[in-house]
Amino acid sequence: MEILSGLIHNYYYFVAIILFVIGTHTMLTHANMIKKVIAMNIMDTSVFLLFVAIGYVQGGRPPIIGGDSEALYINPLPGALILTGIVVAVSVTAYALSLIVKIHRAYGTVDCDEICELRSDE
Amino acid sequence: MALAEQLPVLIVITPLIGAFLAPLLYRRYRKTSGYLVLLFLLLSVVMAVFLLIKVLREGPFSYQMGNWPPPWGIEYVADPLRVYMLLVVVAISLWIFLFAIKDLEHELRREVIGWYYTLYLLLVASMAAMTMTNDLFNLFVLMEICAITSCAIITVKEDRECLEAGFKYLILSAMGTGCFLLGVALLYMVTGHLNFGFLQQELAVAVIDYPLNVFTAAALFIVAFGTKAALFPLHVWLPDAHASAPTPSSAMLSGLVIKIYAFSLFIILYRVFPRSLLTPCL
Repeated sequence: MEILSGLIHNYYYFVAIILFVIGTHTMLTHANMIKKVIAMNIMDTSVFLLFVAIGYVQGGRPPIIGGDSEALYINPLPGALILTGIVVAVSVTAYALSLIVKIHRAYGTVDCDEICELRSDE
Repeated sequence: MALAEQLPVLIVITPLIGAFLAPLLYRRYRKTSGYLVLLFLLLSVVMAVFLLIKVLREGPFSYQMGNWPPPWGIEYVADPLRVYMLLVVVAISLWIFLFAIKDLEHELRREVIGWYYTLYLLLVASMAAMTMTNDLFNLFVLMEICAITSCAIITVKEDRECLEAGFKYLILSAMGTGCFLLGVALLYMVTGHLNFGFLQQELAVAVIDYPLNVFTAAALFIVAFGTKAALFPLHVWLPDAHASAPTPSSAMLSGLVIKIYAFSLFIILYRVFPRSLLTPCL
């Protein structure tokens, strides 16, 4: 019961982990390369969601120093870190997509299974 | 001396400057550009030797990026273990590059050789920084630079096997970095730190209060670095990638890239996780 109420209270962590598992599973089991890249992005985004959720404080306000020093502030650091993480994810995606273009030119398909068959025929 | 204090960051920045200049040099001085790029690597090796002498003589020291103190800023640590590894990385990459200058002419199209120098120097810079960094998020960024560039020096050859092997490597290493970042998030959740030293202090308490988080993070780190270092059950990408790559890339990949991840795993297990986690009888 305690675990269940913990899950309901922290549902955003739970959602992030479900997304992570969906992303990893799709990335490793689907043969289509475009789907692999989409799944890679889902996986990265789930980790970003988890990271940003850590910085959230119930009833907190943006961390800009104002008049009252008693106010509860949201942790701004995870947001700043994830900005870097998003840039990294975008560059990996761009590189993966450019590789897929080259692979399509070389093999005429973007399906991993078909590429395996083509290579075993050689 | 003021310059000696800056050595950890200078060793990383020198190949980065070289990476920026390499395609320009290749366009202007086609014949000698390889040797000009070699000078940047040589400079890094010389500085690494000086750093090693300094560390052995005066003891370990830490370098703070932009003079921000550790809990907030990125910290580089120069202690004997890390500096020996740094010297191994830059010295071996110097030798590989010396042989690559002649070898690349036979293996690559002429237009991409200048870009190959760029990728190579970026890879050296990221690995040199990985040996010294004392910050988990900085390590994540360096791992991604290392992953993209080490994939790119395989696929630069552009034949069919290379492209397929490179894509397989890219997808599996993306899975590795995803796991690593998830582990970092779990540790940040319970400690609020990313610096290795502060994490170790906080984790000694957190491992009792939140054992699930800490053990899950340890497992995720082992999967992440195991994939990248091609440890046994996670090694499926390695045979294709190493066999089809151009000769200097293959030397770089099997000589340094997979070792640097094993080294990072070693540093994380001993410098981040508290000792009580590693001893079986808690």
